[in-house]
Amino acid sequence: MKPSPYPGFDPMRESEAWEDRDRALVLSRLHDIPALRFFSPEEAQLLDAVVDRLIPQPDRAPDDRVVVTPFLDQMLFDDDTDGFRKDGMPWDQEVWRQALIGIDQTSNARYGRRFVELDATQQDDVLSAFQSGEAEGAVWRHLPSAAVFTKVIEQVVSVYYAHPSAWAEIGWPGPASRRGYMRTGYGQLDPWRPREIGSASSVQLVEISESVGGPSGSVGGTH
Amino acid sequence: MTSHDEVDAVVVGVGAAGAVLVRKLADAGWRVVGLDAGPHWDPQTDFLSDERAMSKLFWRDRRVTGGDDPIELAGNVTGKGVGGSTVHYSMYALRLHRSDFETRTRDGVGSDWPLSYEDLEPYYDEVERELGIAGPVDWPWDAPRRHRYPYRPHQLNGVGEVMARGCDALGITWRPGAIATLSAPKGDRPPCVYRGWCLSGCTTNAKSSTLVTYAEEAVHAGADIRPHCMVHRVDTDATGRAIGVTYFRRSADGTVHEERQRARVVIVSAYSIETPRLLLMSASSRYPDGLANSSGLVGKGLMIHGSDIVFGRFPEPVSQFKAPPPNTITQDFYETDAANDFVRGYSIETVGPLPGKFAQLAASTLGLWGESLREFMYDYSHYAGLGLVGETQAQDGNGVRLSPDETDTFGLPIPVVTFSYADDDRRLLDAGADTQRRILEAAGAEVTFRVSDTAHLMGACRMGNDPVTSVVDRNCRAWDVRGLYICDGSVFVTSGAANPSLTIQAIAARTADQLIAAGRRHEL
Ligand SMILES: Cc1cc2nc3c(=O)[nH]c(=O)nc-3n(C[C@H](O)[C@H](O)[C@H](O)COP(=O)(O)OP(=O)(O)OC[C@H]3O[C@@H](n4cnc5c(N)ncnc54)[C@H](O)[C@@H]3O)c2cc1C
Ligand code: SF4
Repeated sequence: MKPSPYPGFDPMRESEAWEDRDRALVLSRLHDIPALRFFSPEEAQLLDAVVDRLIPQPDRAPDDRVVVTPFLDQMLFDDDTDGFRKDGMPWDQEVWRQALIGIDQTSNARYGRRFVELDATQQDDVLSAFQSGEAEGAVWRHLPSAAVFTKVIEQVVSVYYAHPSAWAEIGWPGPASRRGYMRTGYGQLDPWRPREIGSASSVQLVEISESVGGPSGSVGGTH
Repeated sequence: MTSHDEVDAVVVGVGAAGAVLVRKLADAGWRVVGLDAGPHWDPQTDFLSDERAMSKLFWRDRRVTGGDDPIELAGNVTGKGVGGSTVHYSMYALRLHRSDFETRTRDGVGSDWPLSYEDLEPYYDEVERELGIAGPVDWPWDAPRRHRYPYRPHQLNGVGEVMARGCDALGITWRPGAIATLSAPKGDRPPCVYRGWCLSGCTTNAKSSTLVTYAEEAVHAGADIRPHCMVHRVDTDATGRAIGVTYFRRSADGTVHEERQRARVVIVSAYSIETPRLLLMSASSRYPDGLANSSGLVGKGLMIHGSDIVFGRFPEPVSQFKAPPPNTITQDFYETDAANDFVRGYSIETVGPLPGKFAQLAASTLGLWGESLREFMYDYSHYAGLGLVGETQAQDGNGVRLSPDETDTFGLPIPVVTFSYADDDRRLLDAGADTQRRILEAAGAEVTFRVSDTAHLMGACRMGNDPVTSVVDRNCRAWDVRGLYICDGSVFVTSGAANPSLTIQAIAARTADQLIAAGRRHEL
């Protein structure tokens, strides 16, 4: 994959300037990975494989990868969720359990094997079907797979982009410092901001249908 | 059950409206109790600069959302705790226009308010002064201002400069927004340091939430603000008069006790979902359809703002995370324009989501995942977003009712929220998105994309001049129940196209003055 335009940038280097409680929170996120309490080991293994395709990290050694599953487990076990459900959808805990069952059903329908046994291309095919609402499987006859996919990807990215390694690759300094920002105008950088090299991403932007549902309220609103 | 001695007023919900009421009544010498379902935070110890951790500010009790266009609830619409939704709101502090109060007369849609702009104007002035609103030297749109904003405007941030450039190129008027964060010290509170964490709660107290303004002053004035108190019934006596409330109080050890607070006046300020829910839960043999509901309008006519965002990517870093996201605004498209295929209008405002939110918006809108999502996010600093505040029309089919079969942790029926756009709302949204895109392109955007989103709740217990078509009168007094007032965003008649909090607070300030005057006349 294309490398980050902010090579060598590490928000943790500025962490001495953060509030103590912000630094403590981020460090605990790095070092105290919560134990599994909601998902079974089999479910967690499947979810790991799904997360691996939704947020692939081929550029990182296994030990350096951002872990996502334990934080989703913690959110669901503690019921640290949005708290609301859409009419016709179950509560989040049930959505996640059903989603995992459904992914294996689609995988079996297409390839006669469980999702964790597929190669990356096949896994992406299953996830594309899940996303587009064309997934096969009993679960998807009573749950709208596209809407479930949206919920899954939103929660996965929320966990991923709460990690300093993710902040590093997008050039975002994290909690910032007690000192705030001095130069706030267009094109202006403060002295401690990372230098950027390379061109803009070439990812094609295509708006998908509104019917999939808007963004979730889990990290608040915008205005 | 603990029963507290009678006080002059009990206020349910100490948010945007409730905190104003509690403080003003306490200042006038009333014995006031404010009950809030959530915590009483200390920003300097409880707030973190972290998106995920700060979801603790949101109302996340069980709710169901339905209709053709289900509203995203939780942090997108409501907060929980003293300060209410203003603890994590985005700080645009705007007045409605004169036309908003008479859309029926002028445009043949909605209903006229029982209040005029002139009725609220002194209270807008008062609340702007109390909060220390920072705004531009002149306001080129409605209504003409008698006084300047008390604090100087904030400097433009990257998104604001982009918006200004695009507007200039198209001949659209723009101004630095009127924002509820300090640009110079006020009392103990320091000015904003431009860290951009406003929607996760502000740790510096520069942000003029009601938590660090009205609610704090209310405590000094002698008001009794009790956190972790979930009110589940407004009590009435044999004559039908409201005499107090019953609530569940959660102690530090997690145990829950039921308590009762008697009061001469009960004021419900729990916002557009919980206010109708509480009134409906307070049904009794005397009021079988819920309290204050002889019109059948409790929970009906819920409005939102269509708040689609268009993002554009720019060659240089915009750094959308720097400085408060509310920065720059245009209201050139606010009023009805005969050339449009819809009536009423919209505001356009800068936004600036932090990475977690931005990634969610992009993932759900663009369907991105895998390596392409990570690569897309490399450009996070290069995006600028403009948000819409689009008026929607009240429809009786949009609203709040009690679930027949699902309950929350207290065993109370959970609210079911229903929302569908009308065709006119959609035409307005599309026209707005077109303008948002043109501004970004005129400013040099390389690519753009549109996110569908909603913001703000208004209505569901509207005010009016006629008990048949409204729940409260112009002074927020319930038509049906003596001793009961409803005062929060739920009394809105039309949505307007401006963020609602300043109007909610102006109505609360006015209602407090009406109550104080009525008390002096012994007419409560
Ligand atoms: C993300 C976001 C951004 C926003 N940005 C802006 C903006 O830029 N400008 C603007 O003008 N507006 C903005 N708003 C809207 C604004 O915050 C609300 O309109 C306003 O706060 C509503 O005021 P209120 O007093 O009606 O309710 P709230 O401020 O929500 O207060 C209601 C209070 O009641 C409590 N409560 C509810 N039920 C009970 C019960 N049964 N018992 C006890 N307590 C109860 C709640 O805990 C809460 O504290 C934003 C809102 C959000 C969510
Ligand atoms: S940018 Fe200003 S208002 Fe926002 S969180 Fe920081 S100090 Fe508070």
